[in-house]
Amino acid sequence: MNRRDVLKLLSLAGLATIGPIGVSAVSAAEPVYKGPFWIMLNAGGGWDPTILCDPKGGTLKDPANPDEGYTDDSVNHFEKGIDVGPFKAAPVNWAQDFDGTVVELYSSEKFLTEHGKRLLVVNGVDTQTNNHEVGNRVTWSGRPLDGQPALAALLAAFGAQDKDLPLAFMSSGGYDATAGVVALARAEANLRVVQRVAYPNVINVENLNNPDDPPQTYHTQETMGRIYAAQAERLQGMSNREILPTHKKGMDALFLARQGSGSLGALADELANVDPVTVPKAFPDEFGALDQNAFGGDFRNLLQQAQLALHAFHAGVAVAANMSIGGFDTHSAHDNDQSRQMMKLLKAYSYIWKLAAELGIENNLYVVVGSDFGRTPYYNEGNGKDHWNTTSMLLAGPQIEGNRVIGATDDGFRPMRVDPKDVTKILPDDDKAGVRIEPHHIHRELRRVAGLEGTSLDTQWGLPGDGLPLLG
Amino acid sequence: MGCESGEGECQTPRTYFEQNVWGTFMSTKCVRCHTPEGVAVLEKGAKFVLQPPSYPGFLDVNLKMLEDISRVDVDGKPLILVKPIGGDSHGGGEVLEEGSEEYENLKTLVDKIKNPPDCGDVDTQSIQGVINLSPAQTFRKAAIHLAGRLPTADEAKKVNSEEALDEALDGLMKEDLFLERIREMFNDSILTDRFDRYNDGLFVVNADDFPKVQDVRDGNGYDNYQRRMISKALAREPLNLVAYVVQQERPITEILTADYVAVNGWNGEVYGVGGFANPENENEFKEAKLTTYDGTAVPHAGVLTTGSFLIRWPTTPTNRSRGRARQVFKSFLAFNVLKISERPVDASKITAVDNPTMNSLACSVCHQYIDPVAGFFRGWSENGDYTKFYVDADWHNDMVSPGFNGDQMPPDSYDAGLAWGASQMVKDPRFVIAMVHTVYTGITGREPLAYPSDDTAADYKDRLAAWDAQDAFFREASDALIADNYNLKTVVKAVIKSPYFRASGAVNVSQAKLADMGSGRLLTPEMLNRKIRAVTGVYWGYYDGDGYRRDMLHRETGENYFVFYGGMDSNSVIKHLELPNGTVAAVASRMANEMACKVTAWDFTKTPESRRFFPLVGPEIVPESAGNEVPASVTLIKQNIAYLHHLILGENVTEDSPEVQRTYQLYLDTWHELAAAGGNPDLPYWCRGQWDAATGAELPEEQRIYEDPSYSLRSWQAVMTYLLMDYRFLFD
Repeated sequence: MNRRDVLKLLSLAGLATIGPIGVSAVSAAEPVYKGPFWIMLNAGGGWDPTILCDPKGGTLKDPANPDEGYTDDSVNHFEKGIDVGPFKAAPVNWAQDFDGTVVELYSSEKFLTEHGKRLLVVNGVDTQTNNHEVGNRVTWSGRPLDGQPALAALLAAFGAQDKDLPLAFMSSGGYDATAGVVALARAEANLRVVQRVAYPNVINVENLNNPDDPPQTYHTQETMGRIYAAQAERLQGMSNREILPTHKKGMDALFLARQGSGSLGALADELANVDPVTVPKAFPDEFGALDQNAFGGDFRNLLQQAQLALHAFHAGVAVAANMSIGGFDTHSAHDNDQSRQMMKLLKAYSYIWKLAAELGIENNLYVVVGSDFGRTPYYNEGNGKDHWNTTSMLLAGPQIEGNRVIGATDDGFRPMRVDPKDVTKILPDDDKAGVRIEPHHIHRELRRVAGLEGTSLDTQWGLPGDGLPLLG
Repeated sequence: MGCESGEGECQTPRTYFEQNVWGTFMSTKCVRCHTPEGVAVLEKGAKFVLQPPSYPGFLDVNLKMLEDISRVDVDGKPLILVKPIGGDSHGGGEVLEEGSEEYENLKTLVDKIKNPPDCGDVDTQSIQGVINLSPAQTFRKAAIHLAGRLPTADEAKKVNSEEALDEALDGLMKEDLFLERIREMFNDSILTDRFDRYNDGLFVVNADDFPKVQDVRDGNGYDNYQRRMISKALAREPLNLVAYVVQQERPITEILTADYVAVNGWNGEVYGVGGFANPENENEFKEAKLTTYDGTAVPHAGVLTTGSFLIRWPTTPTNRSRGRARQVFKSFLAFNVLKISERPVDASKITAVDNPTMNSLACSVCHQYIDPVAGFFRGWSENGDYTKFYVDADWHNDMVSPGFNGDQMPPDSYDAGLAWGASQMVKDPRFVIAMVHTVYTGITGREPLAYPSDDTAADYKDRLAAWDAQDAFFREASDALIADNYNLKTVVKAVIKSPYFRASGAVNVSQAKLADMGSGRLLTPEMLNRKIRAVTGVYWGYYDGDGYRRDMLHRETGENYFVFYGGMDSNSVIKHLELPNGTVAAVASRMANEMACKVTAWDFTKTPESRRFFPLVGPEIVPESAGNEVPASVTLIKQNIAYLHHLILGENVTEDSPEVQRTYQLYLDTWHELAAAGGNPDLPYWCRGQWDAATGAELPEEQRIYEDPSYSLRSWQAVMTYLLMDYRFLFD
């Protein structure tokens, strides 16, 4: 039975979700929101693009004896990058031994080969900070100032205008400040829980799909509607009389929240036939024989974040989602730890696009990948790398032309400039006619393709400086 | 010197400094170069350092700086009056014009510093016109917040004055649930409850040092419940120490300086500490001094040397506990070090110098604070294990030496760096501010107001007044804490009795001035869970096959609502939701429906005098008979509705009030609907009066209620749902 049939049945049985005033029932016909959808994928702690898309390589101390390692001023502990179309891929992978069988999770080369066509790699992004808090803010909001809403929050607010979207902005971590433009939602992909939340008046949600034994309700549909109506009336009256702003803010937020919980049923229906993803389920051909937590619980957790967000998009109840995986703050054992986390991130990226394709939303999906900042072009005494303001960002989506690299860094992983009239032209950093690419340039462009440019949200939360035509 | 009568309002140096010096020019002109990351300080080594508003107590710190520098003269004139006009080779040149209003204000301030006027208590600023809850109303709110219960009948009768409120609050703060609230408040900052999950806590101690933990991990002689409880006690060691110090009314400084671990009967198993009156009581503590596997005495320093804290804030060989130091500043000194350096950084400047954390200005601006405190952690590994650190062992020469506020750690403390550091930190005024802020945020759910930065805003003065009032409150609470031998309960009481918790309205006060008044926070899942129990007498959840309670708002219950309700796992989710979203509202609706179903018919199975919800009506009391209103019944129904408004929402409403009328209309319309539909009188199976909702036990057959032939039970169930999903139930 498909979602539409279930809803028809529920409606006949008088069981369709009762929303507050103005939201009478779940629409069985069309998703409330049809896109575009946005994913912000965060590498928490400061990733190192030189092991991914901006490799510098190192110099062997003794080319005749590679075992002696690299010179102290080497940026990387490998010789050079690999050409993959327009990209340079670092010769870095991550593999793990599973009871004597070594299984490779992923490599930078495979990632760029697989996804290059959709990818715009922006190298040489100058975050102008080595401070985690500021880096997080500037990468995901475009501005370093406190209190800035994340781009995902603005996009969710924009997409959710006049719509019943309870999960407009879903966040599983990363920078998710909203500045009050939209409610932040947290969710998990447990079907029964989603069903119970979506159908608060249904006692036994287990029977939702059982036409022979339909579920019971706590109250009749009419009574439930009456309760919501009385609540809405009371809440509005209280808010109108309230003087204290802290109280009034809560009352208004609750009133609005009740306007936006009706369509949760669509997500419940969406999840009716979905099992929580595990590593072998996500990649049956490659990792089908492995444990469900292979490569670490954080990898599986990231896959589950992606699964829930994509199904929420498909159900039409969400606009933007934050996903995050930590472990990138590699002040020691950099090569090992950074590669491991990087490949988890990139493999999850693959899963996102794979599932998006299965759900038929890949042509309406944007995915932005970034991190607090980059890491130093040298190793510290613990073979770690510390904070560095230069980084890269990866962009993909319907209005983003892929198979391209914009921006560059010099041999010391310092940002170079681009010609503002032709951003494909790289200029040395001392050529003041050029411009260093900063996060606000990327945000301005993303706002433009999202249709945010010139809206009240855009002007209220303006970006500094001038634009750069990075997306053409 | 007396008050300057005849010259207008008497202003202390602090008030004058804020209003006429800091607010008018120093916060813009001088801070350009004189903040810790300013050019004058970093590049020229200027001693005149002004802290930004993000620094705890920045006004007092900056005034102290001015006081100190006012004592330095150049050619008979205070240096502070010479430099701004370009004298004494001021690097910034002429910033103020001699004779200008700004310069004259600075001169006046210097005069006031040298000859402070006696202004009495005029610095105590509060917002006038705020209306507070009565003592009884305040106590109800406090009882729900602090002890997860409603006032008893006796308390409700007695708490009718501020003195009675004080006494009742003292009683509340002796209860076990108050200690849980204290743990929650401190966890919001140190986040060690990340490990209070399943058996994660069993891995915050080293099995080499404490071999018993391996038995617990392996389940050798311990069942699942015991393992979980021991895990909890180990995970909560830092929070249990705070709870113990508060329980015993010891100085709160002891949370850093304690030379012991507060052990209860559960983690006593691991450490070999016994003799508990009730080993299962999580709040019965003993002080234990631990030794490592080789007999080395652990140099305890309160929270800082607990495994849970050290692993929650791990380090690496090259990070050298700098991350831990940053957390120490944040949690115990109210100081977010990263806030002092948010300016743009140029990478090329970093690479140009050797050892950038000491020598690059971009790095040293923060590392000058962090590195000395990181040095306290010597001897503590990345995994939180202690290895004896000999006083003559090497520390990192490429870091600023260990110390605090400019004092170097004496070498004979090198083997107990954290203990020495703790003894210094608790003397810092910022420690007291941190404790006050922790309690304030823990109770109200809000961070302290930020100092208003936009002096061109139309409401700037009112916002400043709001900040001033709150700052004055924090200073009063800090003074009270110190005066009461650092007993944290004093601060809890101060917050509860302040308008920040109990304001309920205001007369002729601007919105900006009221910015932080009144606590109406969205209850956290933990607080809502307790409130449901407090109000209904029943937990929202079920008892599993082993007889353990499973709360639907607890993250370990199967198919729970913890995440959907914005629960904080202290790992990836580290902030409470401040406002509800669609899923929160939906979970609340579900809760209201489930609880109304669970308790309505059950309550009617009892005798009227023992009913919690419906003491004034029986199932037979209906509003109409043969199409005609029954006035006596209507009156009883309305009286019971008014009673429910008070019980569930804390509202004092009369039976003829609009709110009771609205609720009655809901009842009446529902009754009409059901009566008109007629049909099967059976109650839904789970809404029957068949079980004791508090215990899950089946009721005697003769007591059970299966049907609702008069439609009154289902009408009351609608009323119960309506009230349990109300703003005043979900927020408090």
